[in-house]
Amino acid sequence: MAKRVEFDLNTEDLSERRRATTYTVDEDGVPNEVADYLAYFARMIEEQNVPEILTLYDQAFPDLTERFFREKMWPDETVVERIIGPGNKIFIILYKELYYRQLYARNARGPLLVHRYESFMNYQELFSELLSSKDPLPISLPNIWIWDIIDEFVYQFQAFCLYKANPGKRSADEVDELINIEENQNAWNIYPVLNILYSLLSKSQINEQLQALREKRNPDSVSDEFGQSDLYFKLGYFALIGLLRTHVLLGDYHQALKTVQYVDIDPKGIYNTVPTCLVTLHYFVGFSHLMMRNYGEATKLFVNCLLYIQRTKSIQTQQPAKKNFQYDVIGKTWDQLFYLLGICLAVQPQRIDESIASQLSERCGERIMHMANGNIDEFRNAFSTGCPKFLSPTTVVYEGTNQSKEPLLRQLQSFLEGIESQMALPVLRGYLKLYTTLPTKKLASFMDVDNDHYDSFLGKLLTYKMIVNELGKDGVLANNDDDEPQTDIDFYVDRDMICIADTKVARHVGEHFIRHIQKLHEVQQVLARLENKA
Amino acid sequence: MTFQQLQENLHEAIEGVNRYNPENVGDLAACVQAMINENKYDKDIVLTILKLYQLNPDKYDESIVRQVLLKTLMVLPSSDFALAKCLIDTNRLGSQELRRVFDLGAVLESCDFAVFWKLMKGTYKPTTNPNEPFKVPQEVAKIVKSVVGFEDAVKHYACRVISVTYQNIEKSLLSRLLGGADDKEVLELAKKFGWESKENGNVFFVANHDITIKTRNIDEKIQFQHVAELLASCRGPI
Repeated sequence: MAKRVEFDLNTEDLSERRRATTYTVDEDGVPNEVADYLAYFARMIEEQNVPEILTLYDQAFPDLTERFFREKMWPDETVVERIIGPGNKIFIILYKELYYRQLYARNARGPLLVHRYESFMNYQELFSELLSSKDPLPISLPNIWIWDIIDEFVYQFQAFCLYKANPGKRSADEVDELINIEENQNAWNIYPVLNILYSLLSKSQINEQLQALREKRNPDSVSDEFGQSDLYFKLGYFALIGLLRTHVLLGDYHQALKTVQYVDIDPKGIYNTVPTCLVTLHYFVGFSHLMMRNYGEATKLFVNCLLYIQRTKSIQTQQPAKKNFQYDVIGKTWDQLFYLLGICLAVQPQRIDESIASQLSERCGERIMHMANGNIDEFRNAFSTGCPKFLSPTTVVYEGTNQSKEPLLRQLQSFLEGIESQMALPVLRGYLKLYTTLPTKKLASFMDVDNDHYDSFLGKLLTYKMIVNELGKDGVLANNDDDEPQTDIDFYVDRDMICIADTKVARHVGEHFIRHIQKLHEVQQVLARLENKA
Repeated sequence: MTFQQLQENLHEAIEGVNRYNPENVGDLAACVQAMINENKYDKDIVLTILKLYQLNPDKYDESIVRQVLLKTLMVLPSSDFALAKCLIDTNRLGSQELRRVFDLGAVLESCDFAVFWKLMKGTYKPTTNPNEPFKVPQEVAKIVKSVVGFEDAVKHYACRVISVTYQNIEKSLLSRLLGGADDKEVLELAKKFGWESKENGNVFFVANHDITIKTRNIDEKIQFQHVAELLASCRGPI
């Protein structure tokens, strides 16, 4: 941390001096400071100086973007090659990765088709350098950059699918280009995209290694020199999470969870080192559980993710450099998580962390109430706001209406069909809460069920228990359950008597007092200081 | 080829990125057919074929999709049916045949065994409601009967949800939920799930839920150690 600050100060000094005396621009229109930056960057990549690369990537790049490239783009590859000298293929590819990412981030309507195409070609080149090399490439990159590469790759694939499905987004020339691309299937087609991600997994032997780590065996015993290379290991690791996201976007939730079956959700996981990766992992695993109706599991993941964002929020906002041209993944996910959590808790109320619970009720308390009362439209809204942008990789629309929303509607519909079969649950809960024992016939009469439909009515009780006990869960990513019951109300049926147990949680006043003791303490200190001064 | 042979071959063939190889569609479809005939199941295989149909629309075969959906219903309460539904594109949903299976799924997912058995026994009376899902109830029975072991699978599913819901259950109710099963069959299933017959066989003891499902009050517990530091740092009022 200290080091980063130091570097920042240095560049500030440097630029101040330049501006005052030697602020010049060379013949390519590239400010000297930027040229210096690029040359230094290329050298650090060559020297594999990861801490320096991290600063150059994470801080200096957005900083220079802000100062020199607000209105125009960064220099293109030929200019960069002139600055850093020839024979530096990998740096150029990495530079272009950043360059296209900027193009994507800058255009609210999305980049031109030609840029989408070129960006894919650049990724293909990057991955083929990595995957077809005889020995592991001698490159070291900071975790965040490796993750960003994978994440951006999946994002651009997603963006392309949505672009293909929406004819309103392109010019006449682009239509011909798109026909050409689709005929040759040579850019952002589902098959090469999956192929690249899966190849990263097998090249790094990541699943074998993670499995070995879990079983406390030496991962090197199951991997070759690629798997043992830090770069390849991490590429494989992050590719798992990129693939998790891809599968969810394609509505393939079982495959999504299977992909990350060896990624342990614990404080030691590499994902912890990259905030957006942590958030992505939790969001997509949680979402898959939601779609598989494991509401308890989903709730846990959503709450943990919200707690994490809440904890780190102050740090995130202190990094002003992040603001420019960078999509605020964490901020967006933060909002979405509340909607999804609201759905889970409306179907299966549970006790959750109090700080999250109070923010949730502030944001969507009313929505949750409507959902709990069986308002399907409210479920529809919450789902549409909280879900990821689903896609259909085979849909290409050349003229006519935008079909990019079709996949969302499909997922929404199958979600709502599931909800409908569980819709009696909140009503049941309402009655059960009022009693400690209640004959089934009496409950049936409360719910206006006649004798002919009595057995169907019992089905509602069975459904309730099936959902609460998470019978649908098949053990993938199962967490060990704590012994405290998470549901506030539970029951069993003894012949024709429903026996109800509720769990009452006393208000946690300790935290409240501790906060106020601390506040008082601070006030006293202020007073003491004032007294001393006076 | 039998299911087992197909399954073994396919597991290698659909490993990793090969899962997306459209050339596997034929073998996968044969395997689904074998599952129907031999009463077998493999989750990866059924979900893989649905994904391939999405990615290769020209290979789409509705009768296989229908069989896949029926197979996923047979493993309820697992969420396989819900998962399978997410892998079918909107433009396929207009089909009556698929709609029927979806509606049957909705009945089973909401544990409405009473309606299911009525549909099977031909005693279901369609309502005049325009949204009535089973206007021709015989059709549903026909679909179900074509799948080996479907009714047994539903009985098994019923027993699983009864296991987590009931402490004691009367034999007459149990028999109804199992589609009017006779004493012998009820006893067999009870034995399989470890339920004890009591009171001359009129009641089955399912599980002792009152041990785990109890009213509780969770109080806040503050340990002195956790607050000692804070308290020590506080001085008295100035």
